[in-house]
This record gives sequence, structure tokens and C-alpha cells, in this order.
Amino acid sequence: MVRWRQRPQEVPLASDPSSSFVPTIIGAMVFLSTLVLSASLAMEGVADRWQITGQQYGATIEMSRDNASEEAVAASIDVLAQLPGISRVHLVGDNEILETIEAWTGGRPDPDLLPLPVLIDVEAVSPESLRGDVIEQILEETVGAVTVYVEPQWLLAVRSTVGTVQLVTALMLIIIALISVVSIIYVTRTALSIHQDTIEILHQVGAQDSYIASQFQNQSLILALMGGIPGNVLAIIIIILMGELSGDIEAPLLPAVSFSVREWLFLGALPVVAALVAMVAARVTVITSLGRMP
Amino acid sequence: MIRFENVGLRYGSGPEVLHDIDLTLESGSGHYLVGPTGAGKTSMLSLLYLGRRPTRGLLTMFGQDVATATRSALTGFRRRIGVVFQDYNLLDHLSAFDNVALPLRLVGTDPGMVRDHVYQLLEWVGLDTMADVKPPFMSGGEKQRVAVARAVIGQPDVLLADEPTGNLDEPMADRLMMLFMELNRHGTTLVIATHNTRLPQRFPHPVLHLKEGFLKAGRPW
Repeated sequence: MVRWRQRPQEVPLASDPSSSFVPTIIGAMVFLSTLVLSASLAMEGVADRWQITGQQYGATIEMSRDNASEEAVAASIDVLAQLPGISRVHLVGDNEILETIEAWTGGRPDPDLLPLPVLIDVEAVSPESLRGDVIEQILEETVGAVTVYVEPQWLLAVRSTVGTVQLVTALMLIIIALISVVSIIYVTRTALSIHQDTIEILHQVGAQDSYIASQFQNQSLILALMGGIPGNVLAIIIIILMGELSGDIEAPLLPAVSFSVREWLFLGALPVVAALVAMVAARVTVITSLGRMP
Repeated sequence: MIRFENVGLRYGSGPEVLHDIDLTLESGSGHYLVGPTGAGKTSMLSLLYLGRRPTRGLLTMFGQDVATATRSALTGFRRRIGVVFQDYNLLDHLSAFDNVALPLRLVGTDPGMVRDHVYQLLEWVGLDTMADVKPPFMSGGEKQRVAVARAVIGQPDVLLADEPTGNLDEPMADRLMMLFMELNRHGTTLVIATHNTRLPQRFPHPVLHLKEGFLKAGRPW
């Protein structure tokens, strides 16, 4: 009686010591990278909340509607646009102002009852270009007295902190990725050494390097997923718990730990990314090593 | 088909183990390779099955210089060469069936065809009831028969055998040699390294004598 046979793995990698090492190391790396990435996303949330994303520094110029004719406002905009370092000048429309103050008035206020000022937003590439006293002096000649609200120093400090934290988290992610890749290279080279006799036999019966590499890459993919998924799940549970705890604290500057669906998907994709990196690292290592054989 | 011109081989920086080998193996020819232990028979076979490249001289196989052939080309050549190793070189974690099936699976043969061919050949070498047994649980003779089955299943252009009957009783040895001769009659180039003086007498073919790394062609035994 001839029975159906499942094709076996020609290189017996499943019995290697690496079978337990790779899931552990990749699990730990995915756990750390999930936490680090969530910190980075949270800081991005802080930046969004304070509208301090990018490399622009802002100021708002307020002038009395009584003094500011349309011509005077237009002339002011021209003057501001020509100042050194100014990248954008924007006249804030009445609708924009009303939308902004809706949160405080509890509904859309009647513009006839509420005297609205003329507001001009200015953005510059450096904080040095936004000296309030200089702007006030220049505009006084055009529209009379104005008030300039320059982005406060503490906001500059927040901006600097956010930037630093994001840089550090990016560096940490790179280091974690490098450690993972180096670990996979080490494990793969060890496995190549263990199975050298098997590989020679496979070569002698006509196996291509890519065929042998596919066995190593598939094993790395499976082991990385076996470690990466639990590591990711554990980290996400911790993030959710931290979000619950931070919700109880009245600290408006603390990073919000509530992520959008896209951000959760981003975090959840980390084990897959780690597994793909492990797979590619294993394949490149095998192909490179076999290329040195006769 | 295979041509050696002034070929030399050394391992690493050690002394040369094969010297000035000049030899042409025509397609469909058959030869015995004989010589005392340490004469270089295994080294000569390793050149033939492309386990090594010559350190000097010219070795051409299927019309291509082995020294300059790409790895991919060498793989293609190896698929046309069947080898029976003295120490069998079976994969211990695979069953007899899977060891024999290996050359066919590597070239993407249909699984049904693989199954039929492997069972047919295992039956022929008397191991059809041991298809699921792994080499560590086989005798030397059984391993040798699995190795022979694996070497011939792909119907190679060149068949190399290092002491292929060393662990077999006389009837089984004759049976395998008759299989080799049958393949040779159908065009397979045959090189058999052996100490067994009975084989060349019973199945006559030209003899290549190796002594201290030098090769001399001889008459049929």
C-alpha cells in the first residue's frame, strides 16, 4: 500500500538549540521596540496637541479692528512677509477665530455682539526671527499699536524635549533592529556550522544555494513570529494599562496614551516586520556563506 | 564529456595529492579506478563529482571549464552526476524513501512521480519494506543500497561509485553491478573506484591505476 508522504525539511533546523534562542531574543526585541515606538507615537501626540510639529516657530499678532483698515492690514502682511526668517504670514479669518473660541463660549458666538480683533499668524524658521518688540515697533508705523504673542519659552522647551525624545527613540529602534539582525546572523552561522555535512550532501545531489537558504529563512521567519507575537502582545497590554493609569492623573502635559486605529495597527505590525527582517538576514547570511564554498 | 589536462590538486597549503592528471572520459564509457590506500582515488572522485576544483590544470565537464564555471552552473552539472560514496553520505534524519527521493525533489519532479520512482527503485534494491526506516537503524549493506538508489534515481549522465559493493554480499553486489552496467549500456559514463579485484574480472572495463597521485591507464583486468 503506497501512502501519501509529506515532504520533510532536508536541513533539520527544528532540532537546533537556536529554536529556543531566536524566539526569546526576538520576543524581547519586539517587546522593547513596541514600547519604544509607542513612546515615540505618544510624543508625536504631544507635539500635535501643542501644534509644534515640524521646524516652524510661530507668533500671533493682534490688532484692534478700529485701527486696522483693509489697506493697513494688507500693508502689514507685506511688511511682515519681507522680514528676514519669516516663512509664512496668514491672516486669520473671522470664521477661524469663531471656531477657536467656540470651546470657551459653548456655542458659535454672534460676531456682531462679540468684537473680534484682527489676527495675523506668522511662522519663522528660527525663534530669533520672532522678536515681539521688533515686530511691534515695525507695525506701529503701519497700523499703530499691536500686541505680539510669541510662542512662549516653555513651549520651545517642550518642542526641544519632544524632538530629543523622538530622536532617542529612533536611535533605540535602530539599535534594537541591529541587535536582532546580529543575533540572527550569529544563530544562522552557528546552524550552518552544525549542518555543514548535510549542506555538502545537498550540494552534491544538486541543491541550489537558494534552495538551502529557503530552509533557513523559513525557519527564521517561523521562530521570529513565535517570539515576536507574544512579545508584542505583552507590550500592548502594558501600554493599555499605562493608558488607563495616566487617564487618572490630572497632568495635561503627559503624553496621551490613546492611539488611533492606524497607530495601533502600526504597533501590531512590529512582529511581522521583525520576522521579515529575520528572514532576510538569515537568507543573506546563508547565501553569503555558501558562496564561499567550492 | 570529462577531460583532465595536467590537473593537480592540493588541500589548502598542504602537499599536492594529485599530479599532472591527463584523462578523457568519453560519454558512455566505463572505467575502474584502482590503487592502494592513499593513492588519491577519493581525491580523484571529489574532482569528478565537483566537490573540489583543481588547484592547477584544466578540468572540463560537459564542455565547460570547471575552474571558471559559476556556482549555478556547477549545480547544474552536479544534477547530471550520481555519486555512491564509500561512507554513503545519507541524511540520517530522513527515511530511506526521502533520501532516495532527494535528487528528484530538488529538480521539482511531480510528487506522484517521485513516489512511484522511489518505490520502484527501493523494491529493486530489496528495501521496499524499509522505506520509512532511517539510516541509523540500517546495516552497512542496506545503507549502501539506499546510496546506490539515490545515485541512480535521476538517471545521471555520469555515475561515480566509491567501493559500491564493499558491504554487500555477492548476489546483491552482482545485482547492483548489473544495474550499473545496464545504465552504462544506455549511455551513462561510469567510474567505479574499487579494491575488489573480482569486479573488473566479472564486469570488464578499462582500468585507471592511481599510485602516489599519478594516474596510469591500464588494460581491462
